[in-house]
Amino acid sequence: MHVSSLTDREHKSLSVLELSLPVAMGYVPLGAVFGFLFVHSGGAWWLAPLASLLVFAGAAQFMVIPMLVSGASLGAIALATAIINLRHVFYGLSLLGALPANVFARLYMVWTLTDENYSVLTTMQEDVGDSQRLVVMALNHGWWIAGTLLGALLGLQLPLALTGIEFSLTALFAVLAIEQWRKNRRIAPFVVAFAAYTAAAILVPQQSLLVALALCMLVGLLLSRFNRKELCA
Amino acid sequence: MIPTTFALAAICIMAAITVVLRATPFLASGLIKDRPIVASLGRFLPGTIMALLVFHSLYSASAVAFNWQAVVAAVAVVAVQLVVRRPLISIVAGTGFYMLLLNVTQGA
Repeated sequence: MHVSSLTDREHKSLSVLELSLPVAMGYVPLGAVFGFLFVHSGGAWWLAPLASLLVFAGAAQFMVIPMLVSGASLGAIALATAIINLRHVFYGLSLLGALPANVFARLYMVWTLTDENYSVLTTMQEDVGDSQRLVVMALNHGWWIAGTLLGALLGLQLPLALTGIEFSLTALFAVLAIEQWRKNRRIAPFVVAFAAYTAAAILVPQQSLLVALALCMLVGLLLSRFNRKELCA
Repeated sequence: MIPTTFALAAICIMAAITVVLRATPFLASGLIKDRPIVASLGRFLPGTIMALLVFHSLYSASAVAFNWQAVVAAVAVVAVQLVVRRPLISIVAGTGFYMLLLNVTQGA
């Protein structure tokens, strides 16, 4: 793995800590809720952090708890996971040239490509070296596992005073959306996203994110066909 | 009660499916990497996906009732980030503002 040079560090506009702390503010409490729910639904405590380590996909992990309780079939669990995480198929398209050379580093980055890590990676990719990107991925993975462990062991429920702290992930996405706009100065992605999400939320409220992303892909393909320059940075 | 072996099997299957989905574009990269349309999509998608994730979390936060506090706080985050350009400040300030709004308006 290549060790990032000093110039990497000097040129990066957003520090590792600055990108990982907001994720911690969201992952630790949400992970704790997952761990708590999992144990209180009758799962062995150590299975909760194991799920967070291996699966590392928040929505799918929450979804599977009632399925495990009701004894759903493994096939149904597999199908539900595939539907919920299908959007991740599109994420790699922005990162094809951004994977580290080391095979294990490469595998780890693909394995941990959550919504949050994707957002952070695409914002960082031109600024930072492989090692720093891996540190952020691993830190974020660690927050999620640590939160899960806390919830599973201490039965930690979110203290009332902390209600709303999970908003930090929404705020992270909003901040990184602004940074994307700063990079490209194109308004089209945001207009398309708004129109697509509105349509998807009305037509298919249960799968609004996946359907909206598919619509965006379609519009993106059409736009790049007719007017490639409009889309590009 | 969740049987441990059943849960273990489920976790392994979920992990395998998730990692395959995340790896798909990389596995196909030999076929798609040099297509201009993929490069163009790769640049179009990050802003789009980030915006979708904002809309989706606001929509999910409104599952029970319209969560105007989250919408107001999200607008505040965007405004702060446009001005100060420090992600941590924008996110902490916005999240604090959201928690305060919830407390004040819901008496939580």
